Amino acid sequence: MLQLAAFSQELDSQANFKTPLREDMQFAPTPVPLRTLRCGQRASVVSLNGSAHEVARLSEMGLRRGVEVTVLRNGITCILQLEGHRLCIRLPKELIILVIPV
Amino acid sequence: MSHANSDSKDILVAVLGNPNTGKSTLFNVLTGIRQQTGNYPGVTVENHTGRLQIGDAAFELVDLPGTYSLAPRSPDEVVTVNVLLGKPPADKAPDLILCVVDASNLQRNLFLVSQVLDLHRPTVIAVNMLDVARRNGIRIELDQLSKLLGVPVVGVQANKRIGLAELKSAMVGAVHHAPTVIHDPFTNELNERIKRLQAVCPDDCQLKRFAVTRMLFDTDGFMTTQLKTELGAELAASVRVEQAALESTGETVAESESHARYNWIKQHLNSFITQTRPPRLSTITDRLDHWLTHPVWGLLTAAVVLVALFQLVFWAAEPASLLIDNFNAAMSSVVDSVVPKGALNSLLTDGLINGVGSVLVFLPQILLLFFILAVLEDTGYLARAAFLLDKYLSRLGLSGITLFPLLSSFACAIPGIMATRVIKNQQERMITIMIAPLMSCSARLPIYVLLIAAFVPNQKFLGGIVGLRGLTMLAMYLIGIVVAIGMAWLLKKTLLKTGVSSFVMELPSYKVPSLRNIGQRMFDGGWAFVRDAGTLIVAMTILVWAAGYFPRVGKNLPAQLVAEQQSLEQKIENLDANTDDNQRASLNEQLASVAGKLDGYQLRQSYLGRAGRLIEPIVKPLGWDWRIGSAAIASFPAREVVVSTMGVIFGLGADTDEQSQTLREALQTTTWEGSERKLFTLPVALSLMVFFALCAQCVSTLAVIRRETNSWWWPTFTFVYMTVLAYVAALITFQVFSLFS
Repeated sequence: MLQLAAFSQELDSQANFKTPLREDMQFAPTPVPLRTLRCGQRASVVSLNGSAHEVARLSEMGLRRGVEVTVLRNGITCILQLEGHRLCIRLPKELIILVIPV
Repeated sequence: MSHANSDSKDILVAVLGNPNTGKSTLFNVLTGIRQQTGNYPGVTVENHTGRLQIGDAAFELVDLPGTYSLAPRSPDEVVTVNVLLGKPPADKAPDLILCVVDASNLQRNLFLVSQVLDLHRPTVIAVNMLDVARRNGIRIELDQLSKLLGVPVVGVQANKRIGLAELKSAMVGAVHHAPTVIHDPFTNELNERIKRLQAVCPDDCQLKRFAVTRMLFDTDGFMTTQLKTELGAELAASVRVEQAALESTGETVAESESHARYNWIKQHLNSFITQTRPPRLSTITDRLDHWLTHPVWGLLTAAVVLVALFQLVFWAAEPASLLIDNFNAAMSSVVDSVVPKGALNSLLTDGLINGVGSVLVFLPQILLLFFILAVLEDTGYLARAAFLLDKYLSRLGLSGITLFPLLSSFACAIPGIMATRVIKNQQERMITIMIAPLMSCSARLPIYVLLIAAFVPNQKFLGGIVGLRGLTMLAMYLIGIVVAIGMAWLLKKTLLKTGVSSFVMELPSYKVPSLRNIGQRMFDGGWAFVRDAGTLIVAMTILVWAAGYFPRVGKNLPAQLVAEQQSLEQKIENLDANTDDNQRASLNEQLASVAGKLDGYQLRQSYLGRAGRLIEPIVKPLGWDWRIGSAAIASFPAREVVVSTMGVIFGLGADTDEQSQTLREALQTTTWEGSERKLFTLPVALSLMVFFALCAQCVSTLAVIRRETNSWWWPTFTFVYMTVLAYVAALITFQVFSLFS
């Protein structure tokens, strides 16, 4: 019995530990790779992950953290509408742009 | 009244801006025709300059390549930065920087402006395309922007020549005045780092702040290598320390600069931009893109555009070419009437006029192709086609941007290869350079036209819409494209291994192209062709002429032919005024035929003829005899000489061209020497065309590859692989088609 009680207590503590995290997750939507967006979807850029060279070039051209983009054509080579201009971008596996759809 | 010292050097102005801002349009309207295009010594970056007189002041404007940033990531961009700093290849720093920005996309354009202001040099900002911004409901307070940046800001509409007077007076006023505000877009933390680096920077370093800022944000090592020798290893080490410290705060070096600058721009945006009404939901660009970038309709449109492009070039260029041919014939007859027959006459008519002519004949086609390409690019369409094809090109280690140089290569591989400079990825650029000469350039057209008209039956299908001749022509273009695809794939897998790289390209808004820009591009392209290729082709034509003309056989000509020639000449001389025209014509024809045979005999004994006979065993499996062989050899320096060489070789004199009925007939009737068997059959014609489609017969192209790759290995490789491929493909073509006929 004691064992069972201890086990149930452990379960509780785990649950207690997990619950706030799960709630947190509900409030902050999970970032998804830009490649998974559909045509016409809007999203906010969370991070650019890739070689310094490519990340620097993209952010200079306006595709940077915090910017909102609209996907005009999706696919490996996609067209994005940014504030005031549109870019044609090919995203290889090594370059991942995480976004939160809005 | 003029007290300005007109002896002093001109005021040097660097014109800078993002691509698609109308920078070139503004440059053109400011400088008019007083322009010059050249290369900076030692580098392949074009140096486009123009002059401008404002009152007493003489300005010299340098049009720098369009760029999004001053962080140099390619050799091209290093030159741009060096020109701004007044380092070699430039002679001195610009006295004034004219920065052109697009009003309808001010936020991104100000990023470059922000970098330029770090130089703290006299600067003027020209805000172009105010009309487009107004249509989008954007109002820009130029005075506020000027106050914020500390430099004059002038609104212009370059294509309508609006605001030029204000711009000019702002330029005159700004020359000796640095910005009134010290531009500081950085956070305190970044500023501390920059200050610490400035302290390490040697005292004699000009533009300290700019130099250390560029080094701090340098991700590619270009700038550090560039400045290391100049500024010392100590500074380079300090830069690395600061970069590491920056990364440890969670910020990346790659992003920190754009964060700082864009945040600064955003923070001040409301002070100079007002959105007077909500932006339109659907612009013309949106509507056009809906169709033109569509996976099905877009590709279909691209196919139609490409086919139409080639059709137009063939159709429209023909009358112009004919005109030049007639001009050449007229020139030749003038020479004939002035210079007596002999070596000099032959050099002038067969060598020089023909050599220059063989260059000029392609000029209309090249101009037209440059015109169409410039229209496609200026309207913004080419970027859409590049997007659609990127998916397919990426599998070959290429990207959508390679469409620009490859399309140009259909006019001429030389401008095509020079256009590869826009490709940022080095491997991709090399692959493009290697396959560009496989695109059927306009120099291959004459041999296709001649042989197809002579040997391909004029059959029509589908009610006359599709002809066998047209299809053969298309096949010649396709074979180049197919081989190029195979080669690109092979290079990607072997010598130039690449994974899938990233690719970014701006899709500019569609616009009506400026005729002035297009005219300029046509002129530049045409002139570069005449200058670069022209001089070399003329020299080569003269060499080929000499190889075919010497050594003179002289007295050893076959006696029977010489006697026949003399008797005919006698007969013609003795004709009186009332002789029948037909009889006269017939005699002249006979004389021409005998003269042709004599020329043929002479050619057989010439250096060229000897070389042809030497290689006969090699070319026999292709269905060729020594005469076709020597025509092919003669065409190695420049393939456009083949038609005139064949004219000489097949006993007609060199003033024939592909339109000439007689050369066509001569080819149809020529037999193997000492036999009744026809020399040219359909398989032979096809094998010759395939050979010309694939062979590297152009010294100018190889020279350009040498210059652009800065190595002998790549032009050698190109020459060897193309020649081997051409031989093998011609062999297969001949053997396969011989089976069927």
